[in-house]
Amino acid sequence: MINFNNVSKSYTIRTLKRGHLFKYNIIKKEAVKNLNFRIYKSDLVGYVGLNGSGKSTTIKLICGLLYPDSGQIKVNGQNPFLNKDTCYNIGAVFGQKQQLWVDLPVRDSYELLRGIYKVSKHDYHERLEILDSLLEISTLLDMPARKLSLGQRMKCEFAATLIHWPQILLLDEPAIGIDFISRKKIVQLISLLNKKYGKTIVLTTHNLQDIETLCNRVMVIDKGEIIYDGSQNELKAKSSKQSKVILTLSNENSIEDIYIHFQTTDVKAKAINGLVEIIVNNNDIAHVMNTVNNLRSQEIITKVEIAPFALVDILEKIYSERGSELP
Amino acid sequence: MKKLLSYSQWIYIHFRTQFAYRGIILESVFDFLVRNILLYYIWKVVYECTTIVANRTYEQMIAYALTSSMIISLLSYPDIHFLAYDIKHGGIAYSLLKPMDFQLQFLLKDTGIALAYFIALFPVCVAAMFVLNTSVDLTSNWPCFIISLTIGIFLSFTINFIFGSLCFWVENSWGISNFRHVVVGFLSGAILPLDLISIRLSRLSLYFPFAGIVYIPAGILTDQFEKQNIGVLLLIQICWVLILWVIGKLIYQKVKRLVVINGG
Repeated sequence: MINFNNVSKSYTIRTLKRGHLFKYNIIKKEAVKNLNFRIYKSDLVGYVGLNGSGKSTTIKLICGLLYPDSGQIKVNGQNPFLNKDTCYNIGAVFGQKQQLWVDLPVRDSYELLRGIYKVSKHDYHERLEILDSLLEISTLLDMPARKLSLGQRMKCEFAATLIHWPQILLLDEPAIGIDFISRKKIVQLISLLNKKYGKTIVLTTHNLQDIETLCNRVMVIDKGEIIYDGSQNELKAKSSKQSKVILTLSNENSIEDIYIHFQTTDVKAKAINGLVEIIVNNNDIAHVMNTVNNLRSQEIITKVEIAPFALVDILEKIYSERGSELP
Repeated sequence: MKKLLSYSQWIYIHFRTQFAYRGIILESVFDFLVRNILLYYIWKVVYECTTIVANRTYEQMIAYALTSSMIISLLSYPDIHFLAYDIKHGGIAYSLLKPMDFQLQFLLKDTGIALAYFIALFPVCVAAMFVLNTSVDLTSNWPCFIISLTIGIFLSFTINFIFGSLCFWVENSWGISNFRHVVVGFLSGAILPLDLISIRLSRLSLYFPFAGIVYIPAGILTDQFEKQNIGVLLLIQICWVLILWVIGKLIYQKVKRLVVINGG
């Protein structure tokens, strides 16, 4: 369905030279380098990476908005940049941009999109009903888009993308600025669109919990290169040789003392928000737990929790091992 | 048929945007009136010294001033500025993603907006002509005027699209927009009738695109052209629309590879 073959894209950035009015520095930034991947029909792919790693550029290349420097992109067998008809099969949500006409009621924008994408009245109303049942947008339809809160607008933007019911959905931060209940609804909608309606979805978000909930397949990008493409479980399994032990202390001042007990070559401990988090190899866990129980009997530690490895921990580890600049 | 329907919807939604705020249309009427009050007094002073200026009577000159002001008001929407804004802030992404030719989107959007201004300003302009007793023969001239005006408006949009496309290169519209205003404002006859500056310039300008925006339509309404020449003038206008449309398309084909959508 989506096929990237050695795709590279760079940007040229002109910046005024320090202390000059007419001299410029030309910086060439490679946004993505030799991307190779295939996304099949009904895949739900979580596309993750740090800021500026090339996620949005990839999404825009799939949409046909950007022209690659080299390589080949095919969406449904066609080049999306050259063939406008691919637009009928693609829907994109760019969380930081808006497609609704801000001055007009949301319904007017929807009606226009219905016209542009040649959607029949029957299909249009049916889709609106589905979207309303999940996103609760019916009360917002007669409001001008500029009068909506960010969360309300995002829900309406998401629905606007689905008016033409595209087969491929590219979601670039679709839940930005949305409250936790609406976020949950958006996650449910994405799941429904994939499972019930077989939509192919590429989801880019910094909220890795959403990726964990929704996506079996994860693509990790760093500095324009895909460094992992595979199942989420496999990625987690690779890190399953380690465990994470979280300690709650009776007195936050004793944090440094605790630290000393666990800061060895095989065990990594760090303090986070008054808690101590210990990353330990499974072979060493018995030894660590002995020390923990000892400290607990002295009432220095009040609570012990062995937590599963979250995606965020794994990615943090991957990025730090690659020497990437973590935020 | 469905395509035509979507085009008309595109025009309609941009027509509606101009009525979303109470101020936009009222401001344009106010601006039109103030500009014409000023022009009225300027020409009044000029005609106190003479009866004919550039082959025009006082009444014809006032009619020309009113018509050219109206046309300029119809074209006052800063489309180049907003295109550059969308390019700079990345909003262009959604426009390019739509299954509609980008140049056509631009043209239809401007058409909808110009239509909104026309509905507000045309009655005011006609009323002003009656009040000022300009003796313009509206009944016989207006069909040709409306045709010429429509083509002239498309002509302006095709020129704007070419200038707007340059913003993909430079990512800023300030200089381009100002340059366009100066060139079109002067060479279209919007500031002064071209024959007032030079007869030779006015004759020559008829074969260039800019005169088709203001000078030709306003000249048709105010009886400045022989009736038998009007057909040729309309044909020249149409030819320029087609030529500039193709040039705009070619430029856009080049610049669309330079598109950079900033900010996530």
